[in-house]
Amino acid sequence: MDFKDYYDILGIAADADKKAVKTAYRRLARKFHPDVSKEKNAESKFKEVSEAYEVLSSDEKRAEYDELRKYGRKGDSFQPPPGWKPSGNSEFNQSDFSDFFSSIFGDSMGRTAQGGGSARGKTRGADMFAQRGQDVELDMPIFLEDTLKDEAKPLAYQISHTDESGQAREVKKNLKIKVPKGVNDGERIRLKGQGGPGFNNGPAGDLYVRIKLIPHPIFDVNGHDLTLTLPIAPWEAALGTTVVVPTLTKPINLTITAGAQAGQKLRVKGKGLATKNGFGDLFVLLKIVMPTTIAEASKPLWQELSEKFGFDPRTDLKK
Amino acid sequence: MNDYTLKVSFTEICQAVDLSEKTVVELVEHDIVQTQGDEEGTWFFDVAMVSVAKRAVRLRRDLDLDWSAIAMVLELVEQRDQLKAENESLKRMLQRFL
Repeated sequence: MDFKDYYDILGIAADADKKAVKTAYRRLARKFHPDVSKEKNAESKFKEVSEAYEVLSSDEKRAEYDELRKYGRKGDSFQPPPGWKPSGNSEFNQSDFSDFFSSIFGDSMGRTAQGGGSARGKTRGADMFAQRGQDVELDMPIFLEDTLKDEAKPLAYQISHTDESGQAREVKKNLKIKVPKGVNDGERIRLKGQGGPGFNNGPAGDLYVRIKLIPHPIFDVNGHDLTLTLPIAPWEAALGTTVVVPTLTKPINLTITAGAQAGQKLRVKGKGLATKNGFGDLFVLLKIVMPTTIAEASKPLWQELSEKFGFDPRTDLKK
Repeated sequence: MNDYTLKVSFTEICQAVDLSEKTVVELVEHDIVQTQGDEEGTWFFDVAMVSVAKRAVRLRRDLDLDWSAIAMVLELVEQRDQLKAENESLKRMLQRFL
């Protein structure tokens, strides 16, 4: 276990007053709060900042910490001095705090890091009552093709759970979920009673599943519509053609009329993702592609086109 | 196969977020969570509102903000996330097109 320098974490001097501690915490909390921050490792940094604030904002804990700080420095391996007794007086929910914190102040279960998960020292009043288990939130990645199928999808997950005797346990769950028709990226569903087990015969928590559509190699999603970028040759654009186009189910024949333009969008009705009452559309975006090498034999043909038709694609630039 | 729900009741959202009925009404009044239904007794919420309410509670606890500020923060964060997703989608399409 490494020693944590809470002053360093908050970026303040060891003699900083309470106001400076609070200002530093607020600044860092805004920066790293996992609900708003896009910073890398925001969640772990926020926990570290919260832990530092929990200690340095309390006169009692700060005094205890300052006493221990005489024995350790940031990055040093740390063990509390012989005879050190965790005060265990924190009322804050510090379940996410580090082992370092627990070794100094104890934790809500009365365990200490030194105790290595031994049974709690005392039973608090609230623990005597039945408590609802924790809710669990997780993402369920789904392929676009699977949103159109009726089969149930397997979902396996683990829940970290502390039982009535204070022992940490992993509960494994295996469910089968039929994806709701018309589901979209980011939508949530709830499975009642599939969260963490309750305490003292309390009800289990719920499971909240967030649907995450897996990006597709060829289709882009916009709501319930799909976009497919379709490469075509210059002569196909000029003369028109019929091409085989993939969809999420089976390929279809798509007619491209003569004189098609790059960037033109063709709508194929009902070939998008499922909605609550039907299907979205597939938009085919035309991309005119030149051959990577111009065959020598084709050059006279291009030359003929160039000479016979005075097409200038840059008229807009000359205005 | 396991059954799921797409809505939660007023009582269920209070229980899931561990808030009093009065506080949930405040969240509705600040338009932080939106209801489906007309009267307080028959309110239903989209399941996503549970996460929104939990987020609001964490912001209030950790950043010491009032509900009005939280409503604005959540709206701006949602707008940012939407723009980011749109930007990523357009970038992907542009790469395919070029």
